[in-house]
Amino acid sequence: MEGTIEERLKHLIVDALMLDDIKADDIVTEEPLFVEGLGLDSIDALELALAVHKEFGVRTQADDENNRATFHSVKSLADFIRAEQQRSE
Amino acid sequence: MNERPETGTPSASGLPNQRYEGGPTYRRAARSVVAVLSVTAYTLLGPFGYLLFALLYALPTRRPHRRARFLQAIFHRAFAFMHHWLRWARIMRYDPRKLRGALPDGPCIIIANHPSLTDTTAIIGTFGGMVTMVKPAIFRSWMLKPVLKASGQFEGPSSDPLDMQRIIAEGRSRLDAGFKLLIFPEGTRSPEGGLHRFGRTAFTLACQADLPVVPLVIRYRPVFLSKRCRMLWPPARLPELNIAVLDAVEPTRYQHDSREMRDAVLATYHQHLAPLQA
Repeated sequence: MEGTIEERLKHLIVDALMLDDIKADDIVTEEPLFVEGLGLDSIDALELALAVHKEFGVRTQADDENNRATFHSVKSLADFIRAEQQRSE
Repeated sequence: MNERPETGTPSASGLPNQRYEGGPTYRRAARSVVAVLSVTAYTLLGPFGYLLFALLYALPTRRPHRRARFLQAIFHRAFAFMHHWLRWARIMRYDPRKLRGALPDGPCIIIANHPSLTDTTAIIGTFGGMVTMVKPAIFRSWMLKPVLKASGQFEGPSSDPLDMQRIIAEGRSRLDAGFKLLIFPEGTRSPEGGLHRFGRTAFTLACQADLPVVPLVIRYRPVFLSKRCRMLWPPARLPELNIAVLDAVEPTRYQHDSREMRDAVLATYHQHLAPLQA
């Protein structure tokens, strides 16, 4: 899929989590993904982590204390993916 | 989804459901004094109970599940006794002796709305024999952790979104061992008279393990021990707790889709709690 990591992530969120009532363009890059923002739950987080691994080849660890910050928004997740990709290059 | 008869004493007042309400100060103060005395008695006697638990925990066993069931039975009796005391002391009205055995045999996932701190004790005091997720701060307490762990309870999710992987694994292992698992799908106490959005943990577990979800609807009039109404300043009118057991929901009905299952069950809760939300 073409586009920035942020755009790809938004499509991934809609497709992987089967959010029928939300379009990728409706997701605000800086908005929180969980609870008060997009309203995702912790099971969504798990599914999203698997989808991110499949799509971008980067993996988050279950016991990583930075996970909360990483999964806060599309922007924070995109920053994490960029950093991981640079590290593996 | 049918509602079976409620547990607890039926409302004598016939008043519509009400949210937290005040009342004459002297009645609230009297109830407050009884609450203080109860907390004092608990504080003085509690350590002996914990000591007994600790001794039972220290006994070596080759069958940890059997010991867990034994400890769960003690929790059941202790919480039932606590509710008899609370009813006798006129702090709240709930009789856990009603409707025992209304849950299906064998493992299942029990869910409930969570208006008050007494929900867990009321459910376990009524039905017994179940495990639940315990708030990390409580689970990690040096005094409680051994007993909670030995009785099959496990630590609730941390703030890490991916911690859910552990929760699912822990929940699955308890269900595979034949335990009933109690989950409050809102993840926190309900807003008074209402509901938070349900998480999917209970429904994901049900779909994965192909086990039914049994919804319990808790009504509290007026609400006591909510986030607003504290133990030491109870409402003037005697708080009355009722638990209704709804029909078990099978994941096959929703083709094992945890989202659909969650949405359907949440809609049912909204229907049953509509009078409280009015």
